[in-house]
Amino acid sequence: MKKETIIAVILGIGFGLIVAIFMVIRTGTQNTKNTKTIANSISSAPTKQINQSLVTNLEITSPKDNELIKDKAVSINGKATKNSMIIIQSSVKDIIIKNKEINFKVDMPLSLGENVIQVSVYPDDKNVPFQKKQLQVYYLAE
Amino acid sequence: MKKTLFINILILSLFLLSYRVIAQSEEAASAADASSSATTQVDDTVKAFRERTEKALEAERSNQQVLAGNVKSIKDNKITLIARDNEEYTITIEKDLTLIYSLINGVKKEKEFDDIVKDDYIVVTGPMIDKNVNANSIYLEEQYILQSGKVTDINREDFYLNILNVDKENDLVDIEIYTKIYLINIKTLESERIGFSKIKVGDTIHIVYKKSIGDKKEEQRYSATRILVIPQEYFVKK
Repeated sequence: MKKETIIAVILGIGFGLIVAIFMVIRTGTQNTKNTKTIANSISSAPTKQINQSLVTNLEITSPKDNELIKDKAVSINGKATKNSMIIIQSSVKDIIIKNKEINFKVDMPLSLGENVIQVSVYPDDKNVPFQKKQLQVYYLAE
Repeated sequence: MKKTLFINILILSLFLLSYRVIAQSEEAASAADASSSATTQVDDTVKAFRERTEKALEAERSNQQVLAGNVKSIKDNKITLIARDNEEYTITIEKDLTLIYSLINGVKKEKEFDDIVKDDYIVVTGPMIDKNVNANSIYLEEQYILQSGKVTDINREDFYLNILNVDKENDLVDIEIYTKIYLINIKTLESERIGFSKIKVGDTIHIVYKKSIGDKKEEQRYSATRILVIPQEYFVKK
């Protein structure tokens, strides 16, 4: 092999090695940057998560809206933020409870015909917003 | 020779006899098969018919719905209803089949189709397809509305409250002789009957009111049937 060819091959391999080392170093730096960003975002997350975990969106699991009820009373089951003042209101009665657990259950008497029922939740923590839901149930069986 | 002929005739006779017997039994068997297959076919038809009927009844039961709203117009045996979702529905009345009652003041009374007039609030039950209901029964009703908001001003001379409701709109709430007002005890969460004078600006109130037929009041003004007051102290107690 000619002397010039050997030199060219060595130079080529050397250049390739330099480029490879440069790329490895650069990728490493980027990874470090990414790691830092993730660490920052994680460190700022917990306070929000804790607040969110304390809040339960108001949900009425039963009865369903527009349901025909056969009895003169209906059991209202739902979920709300713990330790809230819950007001269940209809044309017949107002019921006020404090829920120690997320799930709550209240028996509401019904009047003949349409019964509009509104559930309002006032959480103990003032920073948690008030929530309400309304549904209509029908007692027509008399 | 004779012997051989006799044996041949005997074999032939036996063969013919056996063939006939087999043919007859096959005929009988096929007749029995045909009869049993006919019976099975009838059974299957009855079963399919019963299943179809049950499915139709089930579909009708599942289509049985309740709809409430105000009467927009009445023409022949059809009512156009504006439901709570502001959608229009067509209610078809079968004059001899649809039951019509009034539930006003909590008393159930039989009524006639002619007793239903424009703007009445009615509850309809019956199977619904798209936005058409074949009414099984119609109930003339009073529409109750539940509203809540914060008291922004009190007129103690004319007995009304200005409130900012949850939709950030201003409403006027008239206190009538029949209005019952209750205050929540923030320690016990029991409610106790109070007078109008105990309501303060800043209190949160939950109102129940009846939307009367032909109510001429302003849209954002109503007469309270019942008011539940949450004192402002409840929100500043911590």
